[in-house]
Amino acid sequence: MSGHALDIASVSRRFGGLRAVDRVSFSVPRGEIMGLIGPNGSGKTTLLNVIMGRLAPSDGTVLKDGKRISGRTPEQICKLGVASTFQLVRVPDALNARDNVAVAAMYGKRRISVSSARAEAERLLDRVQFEGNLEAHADQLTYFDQKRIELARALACAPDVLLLDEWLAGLNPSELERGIELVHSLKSEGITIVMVEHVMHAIRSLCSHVVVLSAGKLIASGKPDDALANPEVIRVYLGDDQ
Amino acid sequence: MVLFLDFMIAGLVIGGIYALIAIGLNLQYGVARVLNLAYGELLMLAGYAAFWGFTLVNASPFVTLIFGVPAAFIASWLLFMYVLHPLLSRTRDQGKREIDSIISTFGLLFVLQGVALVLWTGTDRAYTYLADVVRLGPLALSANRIVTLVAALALALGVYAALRYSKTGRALRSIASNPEAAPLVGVDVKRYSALAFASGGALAAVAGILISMFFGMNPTTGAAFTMKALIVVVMGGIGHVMGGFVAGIVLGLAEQFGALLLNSGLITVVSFALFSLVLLWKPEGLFGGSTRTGSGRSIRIPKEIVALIALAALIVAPRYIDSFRLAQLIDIFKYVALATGWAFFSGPTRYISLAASAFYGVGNYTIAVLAPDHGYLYALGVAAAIGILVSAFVGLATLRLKGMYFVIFTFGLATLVREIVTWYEASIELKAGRYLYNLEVLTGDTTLDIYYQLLALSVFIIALWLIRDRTRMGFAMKTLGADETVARQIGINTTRLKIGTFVVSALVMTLAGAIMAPRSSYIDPTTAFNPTVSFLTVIMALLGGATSVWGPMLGVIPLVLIQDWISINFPNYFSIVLGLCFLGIVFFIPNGLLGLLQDWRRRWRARRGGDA
Repeated sequence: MSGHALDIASVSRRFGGLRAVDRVSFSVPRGEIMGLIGPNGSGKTTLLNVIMGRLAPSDGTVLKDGKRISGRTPEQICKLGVASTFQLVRVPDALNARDNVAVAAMYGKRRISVSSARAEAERLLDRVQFEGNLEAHADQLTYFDQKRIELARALACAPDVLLLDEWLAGLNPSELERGIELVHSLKSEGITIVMVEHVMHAIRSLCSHVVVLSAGKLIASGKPDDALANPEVIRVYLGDDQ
Repeated sequence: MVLFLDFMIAGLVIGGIYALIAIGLNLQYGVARVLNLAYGELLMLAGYAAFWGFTLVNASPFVTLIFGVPAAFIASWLLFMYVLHPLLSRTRDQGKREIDSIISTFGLLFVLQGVALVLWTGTDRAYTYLADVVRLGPLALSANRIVTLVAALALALGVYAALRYSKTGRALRSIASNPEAAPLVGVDVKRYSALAFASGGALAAVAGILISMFFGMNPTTGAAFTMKALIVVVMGGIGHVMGGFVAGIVLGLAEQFGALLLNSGLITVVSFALFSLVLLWKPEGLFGGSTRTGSGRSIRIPKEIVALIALAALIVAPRYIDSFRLAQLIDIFKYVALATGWAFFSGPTRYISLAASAFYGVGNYTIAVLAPDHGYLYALGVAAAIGILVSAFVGLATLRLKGMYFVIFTFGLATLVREIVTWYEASIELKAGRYLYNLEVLTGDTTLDIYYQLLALSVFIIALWLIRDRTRMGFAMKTLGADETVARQIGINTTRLKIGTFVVSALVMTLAGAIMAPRSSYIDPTTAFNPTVSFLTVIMALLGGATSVWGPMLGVIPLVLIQDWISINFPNYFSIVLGLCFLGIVFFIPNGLLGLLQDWRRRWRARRGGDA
């Protein structure tokens, strides 16, 4: 088995004539944090959707631990140990904070009883430093707490690969520092993380590698400082007249 | 060869009509976002107008066309501006809007059918106009069919061109593709939606007047055409006018050749088979996306102790009441089983099933056919098996897709099953309907037995629901009802969960029909598959509140009493009054009685909190 948790092999996704993701290949080393960056509309979220099985790739394959996961349904991919947060917070109002996390523990990769799932949910909410009332519903909670529920719910699936889609976006500076610490601590638990992020400070302090997408194509990869210094990357971020 | 051409022309004529009404329905659903289940009723009313115009004042249908089409346009415009738009703009939740539009137009369907039945009775109304035979080479065709074909094709292509090339058409298409963004570029969404809705109504009127020249009208004509239009719209792709046009012609041809090659009693079966094939093999090509949003927060009140005491009372009740009250109790528990069974699936998932009468009828009929020869228990087992098979098939065909396919499929399911049974009786058993005067004797079932069986069935489904609420499946259902994408992402196999729940729900409704069979002394497909059963089941569950286990029961009791009162006092206006009840509930009690009670309790607590 290779040392890669995730292999993206020449993945394309077309919408009609538009190539949202165009023959992208890269690998995520096990236990590392990989940053996925690029301007708006460069195909980052589409790529995450392909990895998670919400969209089927038009071409190419996605492997986890060397086994093909592309073509499977989202629920199968979850059970194979890949979990994610949503770019826009999606915490159903039908359940309270604790049960939103608990339901992921009941299904997810494991199959545990209602009472132990609730205990697990409380542990995970504590783990992500959730500050609100466990009985509260999403509309009564702060934005940061809703984001923490998203993260705890993804963790409740017991993943070994975690995809964070702009999980740090919209946080104020002090929340951001705590968020970065939290993501860092997940790495030390051995979880492989792929994060789509616009906050460069977070990318530099967390990621060992980054890949840069522009208009669906991979234009650079490597250590964050090297990739961000790449002239092509500077051009797509700042425009042609540099 | 000539026979082949004859059938092809007949297919083209009816296909042209399907294309026309599919375009009209597409305008209403694609642009105005109203799934109008009463669409065909406008066609029916226009057909009646042509009939009465011709019969009473000898007016040609073309005169009716000149007056009728603007009238249909104005009526649809008013309906949209003053009823549907205010109703639907109450909420931004797309799922809730869809449910409200389905339920209110389903109510309207019953009102308009009821009006037609009261005014003009159930007889087919036909007249003769332009029936002279025209010879085209080897073919002999009546002139009215040629006129219909030419007019339908010309109009369909005209609407297509208008949408494609005019400025108004561009505005309509922009709303269809993105109703949130359209106002940002200066499109008045409300005005154009009303225009699209009214134009759709006008097209239905044209279709109704055209076909009235060779097709008799009766109060149920409309629903059949709504069904066909829905099938065509789905086959062609929602919002795709050209796709609908082609699919309309294809459906018309398929039906005619199905009638030629198989049996003319099986036309509905052919169109449903086509519809199922499209859904099973090419669903994503039609139109994608499956995100459903919204909050159906369900509540649980610990009433189990009260329930047990009530159950004990219900078990001993028959000793103390007379036969009239017992009959009323039977009626109540028939609907408790039906409405709770219905809500078991439709409440949390918000997939509105309009097929209660299909399953009820299957149970009813299976007992009637099999019990006299094979005994009651054997027949009950077969009924359950058929109910499970039918619901598993419907679930597989539709539940992987967006809720809309499911609504459309279930809307026609009762008709489909009824026509299969009618065909079976007419061509294989060579009879229609059967007397059951000795079924009670044969099965040994007394009224009391029926009461206890219904009570047991009701307790079964309520207990199952309570158990579900306490296991992980209850959590999964709530997540699924709120956000299917999230549910799948955390490892819930939503397709399996939906199909499994739907099968249980259908099984309960089938058994309710089976248990009730010995209550009737005569049974035929029309009485067994009476759509009023679907209608009452949905209205009761929604009145009580479909998202929690006790809600449906709360809706059943007042409605059974109201139903008794209506059928005693206004026997002829039954479906009109019920349809109005339906509309009233959508308008005034959107969250059900249980929701209303909670609102009151919350407000009362808030006031008390404010005083303290």
